[in-house]
Amino acid sequence: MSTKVIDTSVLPKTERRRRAPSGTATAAAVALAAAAIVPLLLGDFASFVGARIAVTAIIGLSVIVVTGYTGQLSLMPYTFVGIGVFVAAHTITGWGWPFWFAAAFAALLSVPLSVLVGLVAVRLRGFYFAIATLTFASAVGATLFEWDAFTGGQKGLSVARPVVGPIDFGGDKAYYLLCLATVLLLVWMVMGLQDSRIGRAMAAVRENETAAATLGVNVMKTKLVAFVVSGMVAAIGGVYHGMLLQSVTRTPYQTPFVEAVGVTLVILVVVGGMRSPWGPFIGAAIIYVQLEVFRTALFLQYFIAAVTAVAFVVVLLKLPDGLVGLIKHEAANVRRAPRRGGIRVAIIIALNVAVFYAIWRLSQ
Amino acid sequence: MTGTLAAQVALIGLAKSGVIAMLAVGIVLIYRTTGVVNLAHWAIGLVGVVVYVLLTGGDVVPPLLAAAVGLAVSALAGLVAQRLVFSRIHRSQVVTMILVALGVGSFFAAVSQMLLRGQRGEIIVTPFLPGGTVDVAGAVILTSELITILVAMATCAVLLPWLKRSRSGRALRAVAQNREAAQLAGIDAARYAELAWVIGSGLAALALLLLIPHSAGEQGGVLSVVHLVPLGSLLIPAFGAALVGGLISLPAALAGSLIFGLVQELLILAPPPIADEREVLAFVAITVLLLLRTERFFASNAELEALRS
Repeated sequence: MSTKVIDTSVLPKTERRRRAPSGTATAAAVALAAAAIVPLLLGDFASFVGARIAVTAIIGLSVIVVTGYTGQLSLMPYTFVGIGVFVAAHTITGWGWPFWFAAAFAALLSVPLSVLVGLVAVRLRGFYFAIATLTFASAVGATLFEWDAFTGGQKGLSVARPVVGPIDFGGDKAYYLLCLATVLLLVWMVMGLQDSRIGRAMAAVRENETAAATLGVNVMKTKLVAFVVSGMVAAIGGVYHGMLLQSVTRTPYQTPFVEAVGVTLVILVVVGGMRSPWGPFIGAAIIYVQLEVFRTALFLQYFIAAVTAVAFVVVLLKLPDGLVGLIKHEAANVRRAPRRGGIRVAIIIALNVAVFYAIWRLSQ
Repeated sequence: MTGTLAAQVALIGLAKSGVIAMLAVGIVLIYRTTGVVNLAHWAIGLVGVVVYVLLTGGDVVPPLLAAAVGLAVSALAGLVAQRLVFSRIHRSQVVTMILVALGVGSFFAAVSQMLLRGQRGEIIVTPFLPGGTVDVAGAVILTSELITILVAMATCAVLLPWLKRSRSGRALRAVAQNREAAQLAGIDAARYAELAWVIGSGLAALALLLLIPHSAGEQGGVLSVVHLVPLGSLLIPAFGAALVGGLISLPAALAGSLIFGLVQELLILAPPPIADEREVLAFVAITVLLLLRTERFFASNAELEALRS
């Protein structure tokens, strides 16, 4: 494995944060406006799907921190989501707390568990780390989530969507906008983390633990911080997930479902791009839009799952930066040769839309 | 009376151990020869079970033949996975390797559900082993459970000496211990890696075929949503068992299977707080095994280097 550890802290700040190339900002603004408006125009159901994508993107950010930045594979993100979900049920619905306070509280409550798991897991490398998180996911599912007072037993609990002053987030459209705003805030924070001192330590650990240690990076501390931060992000995602579903039960957070959804999450994050905080958003958007379009055709849903798994393996072998990397690559092409690059992008988009439409027509 | 009860629980535990052992042996075999931590193991076995379910659904194919076909399909799935995917990844890319294994597992789980045409809920499965119960020294267990124990024992009785003595078995071990030296000695390492995948995947299918079509006792079996997920319901204990031998030693993995099947089942008889938290105890055991880094007890440093490079 290559050891390209560059301590960017010695560079002047302007070098570190290069200005985005012209055009990128415009494109980003257009994409953002579209993301905010399109689901609202399509109605309540589309907004619900949009909110689900945004919530999955929040949870996926936890994978970015621990896997994308630090190179450790955690398969227990949904255990922390479960904590967030049930904390939301108790604090928002039960005790009448404001949702942002509940989110902060859930993040705080995830810390003891992530520290406990982290203290074991950071001593392990590679697949041992992954298996340790798998066993902890099962163990928490068999203990904490079996606790009826916490999870509401078989019946589960209900979670109310927030009302902030005059704004009622109870409807799907309003709730979607709230989730979108939150995911943007968190993407910004996770981007900032990458640029920070600890973020660079994470990158060093990811590329080569031994080399990082010789450079004076505290490897165990860095891995632990990454794991704890990812747990907090997932717990915050859990609060939003609870408010999205409005009624929650413990089953998805217990064996074998907690591992299965964890695997699915990792897959969509990698397909989207695990080195960029936008990766989960793109991965979640692609998968959930497909699943909703083909909702009536169960066979196609599993077909999509199989194709996604193949895409995942191809991305791992050929496209380490996922779809975000592909988009960046095409954008660079367009900048270099606007006409040829533009035609190429148009053809790619048209082909995708055509295939998608054809499958949709066939499934009706 | 308590003695009989203990014997009965022990036999049921042994049957569970047998299933875990067959999964664990496959995991160890594949890891040793190719360095792949096969998180797709369950899903590859599942494909065989689903083929079995489809074949027996119409009452045309005899169940035993269907089971053989299912086993062959899983073995083929393992071969394809190794040839198309895993052979292209370098062993040192550990995280990529695990992620790819998860992807392959998800793929085969999705294919299984596709083959079942998205039937949700529980699917009744015809058994291929005789129903009824047998009396073993006063303890009454299902015939299928007794056969599971015997099949697991027979598999080990054949596989261990075969690995030790036969030409192919020795070549397999040579590839595991030192890939380059084995290749210099004229052993086709890629072929033996594929052989390990075929045997391991076939064993996974065998384990699942003994488990799922007989899971509901007299009535046959139930294929439920718990089975149709990538990691299944027994893969984690199977990894725990394999970890007893550091994913390297087959005899230690078999001992581990006994612990994870038999002891866990016997703990039912323990006082309530222990009996209720049996699963949690198993997870604690796996965590301890991980922290012990058990592989160093079973392999020389040179061998560990070979596994990672």
